[in-house]
Amino acid sequence: MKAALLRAGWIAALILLLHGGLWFALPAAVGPSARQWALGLGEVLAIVPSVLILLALFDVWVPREVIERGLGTGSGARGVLLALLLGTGAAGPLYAAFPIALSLREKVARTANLVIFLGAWATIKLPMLMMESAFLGTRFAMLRLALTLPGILAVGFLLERMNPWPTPDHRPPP
Amino acid sequence: MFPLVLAGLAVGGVTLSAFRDPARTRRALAQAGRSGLNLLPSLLALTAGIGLTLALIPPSALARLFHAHGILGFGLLAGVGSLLTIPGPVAYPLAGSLHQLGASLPALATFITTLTMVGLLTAPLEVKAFGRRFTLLRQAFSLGLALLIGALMGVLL
Repeated sequence: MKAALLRAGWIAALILLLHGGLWFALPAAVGPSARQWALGLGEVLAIVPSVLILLALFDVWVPREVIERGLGTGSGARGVLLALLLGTGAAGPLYAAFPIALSLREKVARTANLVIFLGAWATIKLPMLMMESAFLGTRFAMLRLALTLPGILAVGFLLERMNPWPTPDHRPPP
Repeated sequence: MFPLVLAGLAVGGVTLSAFRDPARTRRALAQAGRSGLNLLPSLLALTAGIGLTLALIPPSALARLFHAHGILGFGLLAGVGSLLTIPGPVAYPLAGSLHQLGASLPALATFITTLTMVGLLTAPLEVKAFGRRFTLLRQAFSLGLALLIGALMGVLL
């Protein structure tokens, strides 16, 4: 927590330093650049906090264990739905989902459900859809969702078919 | 409009949640604060980078780059997107700015999908967790999906 704050401070200082240097090299560019920065930051800060709060509420109210139990081999369409739901859980880049996916794999989740979970985590969180609409238009967000959803399911089942862990030594460590 | 709707949903959700279970709500808010703090450095850098770019390179030149070289712009965005993995809250503002600069929506659809699903730079982490074959297959299929989505968006939008 402190480290992130410190990193933000360093980056802000670096940006100010850069603008200071710009003052000497290209004085005319300082105003527009700083204005654009403030505008962009305002636009982002108007949206991101709400999105993060909605994601966190989802995370604390939908118990992860209940979902995880329904992801096994015989889970069928319900398992796929749960994998999608689990993927919309928390904020963070895809690599933040790897530890969770690994624990799912240890609990014998189906390969297809595992891949679908990763895909859902990456691109189709509901609060993020609203963010996508805000920045790129509702039509764009809805159309991309309509194309991505079946795509992620296809990737999941295709990958399971191709058996990504053919021999025991290719398996992830238990 | 959207910021207001989102804020309304967040306030409503927190209120409802606080009535049902204050302790759990506090946990959610702390978690949201933590992820916000973790995102802050990249958001600062992103917005400043866009600001500098816009101030130093005239928008008309950037727009010309995206217009004159449609395929090149598409390839460039897909390439950069495949290399990096960026969380959504940072990816969408970036895509929005690129759109204002003249990048086409289909190219941005591919950009966002690769940006969030494919990541060559973070592939070692995935290999460590799931093995080489799984990583290769998942990233290759995801890249194919991203390109397909871009092509279909070009037809449908």
